[in-house]
Amino acid sequence: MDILTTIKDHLAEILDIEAEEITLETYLVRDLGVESIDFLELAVAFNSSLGIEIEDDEIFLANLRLYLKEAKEGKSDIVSYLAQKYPSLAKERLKQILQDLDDGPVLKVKDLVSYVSFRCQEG
Amino acid sequence: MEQITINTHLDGFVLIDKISAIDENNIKGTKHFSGFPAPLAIESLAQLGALHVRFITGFEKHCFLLKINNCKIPEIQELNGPYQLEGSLLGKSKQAFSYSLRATKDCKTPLEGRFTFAAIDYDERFKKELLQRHHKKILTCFNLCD
Repeated sequence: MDILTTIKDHLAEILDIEAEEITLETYLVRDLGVESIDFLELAVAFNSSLGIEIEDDEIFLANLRLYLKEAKEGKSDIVSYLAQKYPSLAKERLKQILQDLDDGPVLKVKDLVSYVSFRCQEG
Repeated sequence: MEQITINTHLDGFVLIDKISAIDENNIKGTKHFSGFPAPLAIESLAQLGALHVRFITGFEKHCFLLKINNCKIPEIQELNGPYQLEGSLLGKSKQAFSYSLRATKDCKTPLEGRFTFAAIDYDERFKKELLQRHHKKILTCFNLCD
């Protein structure tokens, strides 16, 4: 089973929705209403089924706004700073995220896929 | 402020008598119930799982029961006699831990479920100097008690 299918299946089971409703571009919080308790369940489900270590803060971009503040205070290039914190995300995706911040939580299903793929390659 | 007294009909609120085995992925214990309502074994299992979380995090985290899935409770009114309590770690992250936990007696229909716990750093509300020592002491006591 591929990574996207596995992630969709876990989301569908935990949120009690149809997996067909979920795409790579689906926002977890904005579209699916994922809450903090769901994130914790997702993390252990990914660890259990995929056998990878899960850093909750990293996979779910939990400290994104903190890192933005740090980058601004340190006068660092924001995209480069975020790339260090989120090595699974391409710089193009990080630029998209920065443009998308004003509309709410930015995490998409494709970010989870990137994280899991990155961890599997490390593995 | 009005004081409220709550009678739980329990002698204390630790619902585990003994830990017989514990390692990175599994924990086993026992509890002798005396006329306890069946759902109270859920609390025993939650305590067993939480103890394992604390053990594998080196007692450096405080933990909470978040959720129980697929919980099965046997159709009996009261729990009586010695029950085996068992738990296996199914998955974990830095902040969450999921277990299959079950309570059985004489290999009959178990009370079981999938329990998820969250682990957080100690803070002002959950003071490390009090809680860490308390939970270490409990585990030591469980291991020594026969």
